[in-house]
Amino acid sequence: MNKKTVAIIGNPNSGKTTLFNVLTGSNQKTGNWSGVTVDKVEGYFSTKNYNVTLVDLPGLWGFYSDSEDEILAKRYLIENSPDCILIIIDGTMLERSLMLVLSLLDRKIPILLAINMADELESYGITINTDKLEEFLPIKTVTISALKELGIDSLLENLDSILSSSDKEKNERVENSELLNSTLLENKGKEINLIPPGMQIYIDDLFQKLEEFLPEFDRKILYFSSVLLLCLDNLVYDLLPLNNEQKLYLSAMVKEYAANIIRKYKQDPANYLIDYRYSKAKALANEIAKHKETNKTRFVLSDALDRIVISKFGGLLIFLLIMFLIFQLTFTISQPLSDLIEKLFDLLSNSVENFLLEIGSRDFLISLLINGIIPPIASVAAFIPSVGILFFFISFLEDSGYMARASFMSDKIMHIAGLHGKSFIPMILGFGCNVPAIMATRTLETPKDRIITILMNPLMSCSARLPVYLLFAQVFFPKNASIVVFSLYLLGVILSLLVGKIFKFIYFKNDDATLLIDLPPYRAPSLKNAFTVMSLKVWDFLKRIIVYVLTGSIILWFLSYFPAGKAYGSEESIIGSLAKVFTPILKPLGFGYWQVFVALIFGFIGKELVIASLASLLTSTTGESLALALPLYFNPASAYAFLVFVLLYIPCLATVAVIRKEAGKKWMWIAIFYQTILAYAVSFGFYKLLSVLI
Amino acid sequence: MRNGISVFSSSRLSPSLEDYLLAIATLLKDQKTVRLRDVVKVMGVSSPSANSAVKILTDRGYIIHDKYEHIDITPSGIAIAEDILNRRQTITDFFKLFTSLDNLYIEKIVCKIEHYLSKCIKDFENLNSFFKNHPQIYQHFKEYVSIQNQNKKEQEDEYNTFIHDSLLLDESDEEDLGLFNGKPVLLLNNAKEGKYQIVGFKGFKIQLRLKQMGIVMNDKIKVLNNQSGQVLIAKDNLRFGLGRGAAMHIYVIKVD
Ligand SMILES: Nc1nc2c(ncn2[C@@H]2O[C@H](COP(=O)(O)OP(=O)(O)OP(=O)(O)O)[C@@H](O)[C@H]2O)c(=O)[nH]1
Ligand SMILES: [Mg+2]
Repeated sequence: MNKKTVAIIGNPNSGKTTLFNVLTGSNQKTGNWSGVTVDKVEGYFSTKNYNVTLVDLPGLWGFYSDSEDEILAKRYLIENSPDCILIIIDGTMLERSLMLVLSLLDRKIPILLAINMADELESYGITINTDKLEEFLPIKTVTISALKELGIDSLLENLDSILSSSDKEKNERVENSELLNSTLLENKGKEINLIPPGMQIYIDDLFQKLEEFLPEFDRKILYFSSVLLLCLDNLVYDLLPLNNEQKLYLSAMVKEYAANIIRKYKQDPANYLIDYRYSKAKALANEIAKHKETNKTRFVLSDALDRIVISKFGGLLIFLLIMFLIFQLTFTISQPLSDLIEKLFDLLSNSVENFLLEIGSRDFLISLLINGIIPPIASVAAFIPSVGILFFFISFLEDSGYMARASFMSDKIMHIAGLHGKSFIPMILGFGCNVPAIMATRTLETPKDRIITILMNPLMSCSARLPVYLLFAQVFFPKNASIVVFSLYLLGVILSLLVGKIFKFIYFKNDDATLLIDLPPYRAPSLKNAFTVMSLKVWDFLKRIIVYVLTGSIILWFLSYFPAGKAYGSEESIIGSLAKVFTPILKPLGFGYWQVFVALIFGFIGKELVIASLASLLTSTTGESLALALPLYFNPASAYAFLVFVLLYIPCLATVAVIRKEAGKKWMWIAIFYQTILAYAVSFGFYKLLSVLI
Repeated sequence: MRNGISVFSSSRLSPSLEDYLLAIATLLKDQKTVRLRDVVKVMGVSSPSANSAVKILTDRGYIIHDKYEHIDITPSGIAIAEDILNRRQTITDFFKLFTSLDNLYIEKIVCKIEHYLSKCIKDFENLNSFFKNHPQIYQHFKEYVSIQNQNKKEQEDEYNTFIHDSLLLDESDEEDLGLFNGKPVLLLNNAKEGKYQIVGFKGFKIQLRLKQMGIVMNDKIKVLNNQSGQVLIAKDNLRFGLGRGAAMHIYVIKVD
């Protein structure tokens, strides 16, 4: 079968990824706010006649934006020529969506338009006449609901036929007349142009110049680029293979043309074009959609709720309450399950040991399983339910529409760090995992905001740190466990704001970006989605256990078992004698044991390994379970200091790598450096303070 | 030149030192004694940098800085200061005579460029005096220029405003320019929950972002909440959260 590429383009939050998941059977992250997808993702599926590579892209408000995620989508359209663009629009917001559709017609690639949210249209009292739309625009249109999986068959059918007709056209050279003809909206003899009066000649001129400069280049891309050029878009200069002289020539042309347009129409080209297209989109929307008077309670309720959740103090209080509730619930529900898992592993450990003894297997094999592998795995596996349940609730939040509100509410607080509300979402995502959270900073508009948010992010307690918190909290503060855990999350947030403030002060003086957040409608979170997310996360966690914890534990066992003849995990073992040297560093913090030092070092690979290593080293020497062994090494004060240290010290390998990728080497080293110092200082402070108090 | 000090000598002062010297000379006209902190105040600089400047000027013999911290200017210092002032006056005259720049702007740039134009100051002087002594020729010149500019001026102005509007307004926090009849959304009263109509935007980029998200000219919007710089607005079924900056850039009037 033939191979084809189809790209999904659309406004943020219009359901692109939901459809991508439906079509390709993937499980990419979705959520009810703008800017969930920040990277290009590929997936595969087939229509009747074609094997299709589907590309999911970040949402696009339009072609004039500064944030990196939107630029990524725009870049894709200049650098690639998919066989078809699948535009997903939110049917409840036709005007602005249709404007994007009109802008995409400039790209001259066959388009399939999917009007999404069909399931919601009725409650909005909207009926859309797609036939009528097809009369106006040269594109196929289908109505779908990506969430409810409605209309998918017809979408596939139409896609197939578009792909096959594009097959035929492929080899023919596109005629100039076709390319340059923007007269599309033909209705009852009335012709309406896509380009406002007086602009087409300039676009044509630029296009011809580009053609002259780049004769071999895809001409459709050149046409698209000339529209962008005239609108003072500088990305084109970087993406097309132009030499310096050509760039200068073009920019001189653009300057002159832009000045002409301004003189004549009193507006810069980009705004002139957008205003024109918006009016067309509006007319079009009026033409194809009918609005019935509907029950307005939905809006009244939503607005009332909005006023509460973004109010000055109430908003913050509600946010904290929600987070606390989530932790408390996670705690309560997961506890019995964790106990069960622990018991199972106990059983396993015992029977394995008996079995091995019975068959008279070698000493080191017994030690490998009983000391090296089972305890560390068991200690981490016990927290599978907590992680799953935490994500279950977080997915509820993400689907509800609350995230956008929370980020708006937090604007004032984020100003402490010289940021604004948009940085809040990456911070919350950090509670899941810092890696995607740091990627999510791509939605921020200024490099300054990005860097500061990236530097702050590792202080958000990721879910890999949760097991450490939970274990220690249960052992040392059994009565107030959830408060202790919550306090650590809060401490991370507070410190990150302070850190942000300091970095802003040292490195970045001015702050400028303006906050402009689209608040999506509240939606009832779907249970199905929550369960999918939960099972995905559990699966992820299992994989991490196998990849990080198992391999880490085996390495650790090896280093602890040898040299042969010494007791497992004793000071004389390889790792013991190495780590002993550094132990004095940790003395002032109250946990100056070499085993703890080893645990922290291994924790750099993945924070779960902190517990795993402790389990491996402490249970063997004491012969107790980890929960019983810990009090021999820690008291409540040093336990809390230890948790603070785990919260703050160098983030895990994957996070360090993503910081390097997104912010550069310099900032990676700065992050490592400041976190080490911060962790030591704050942990020391807490140890001294709590030693006095407790 | 006076007192045998040549302004063109290789030991010319740097632009900023010239500024210091001028500042001290000016201060001494108004008051008997000048102290370092006065200099700091009028120059708007930090005291260490003022201190080092005063030190260099003292070393060069242009000023005296005595042990009571009083600063006084020497005859050679006075000569230098006068020279600078003369040169500035010449250049100012030139700009006023031959360009369309406005006086405030001239004042602003003259002190910046004077240093670099001092080599041809004589040429400026000659030009100025020639035209001053031949008023008819100056009149001819003026007429010629006005004809030339007739067409060009419009273009330039508009392009400049455009560049200004598009590139500068976004970054600077200029005061409300009174561009439109309406007032910024930010200043709307929370309690009044009427409908408003958008009559204008300020700033090229923010305007584009707003339009792409569906807020355009003449739209009717509602202000649902306005609390300490955070504004929640509604247009049909769209809801937006605006920060202070964004809310400052949308101008509205009340409608019923
Ligand atoms: N009611 C309803 N909700 C939908 C439908 N399709 C998607 N959603 C919801 O809309 C929200 C956004 O979906 P996403 O797939 O993340 O949107 P996106 O376009 O990928 O968003 P970005 O990646 O941020 O650009 C999610 O909460 C979905 O559950 C639909 O057909 N009906
Ligand atoms: Mg997405």
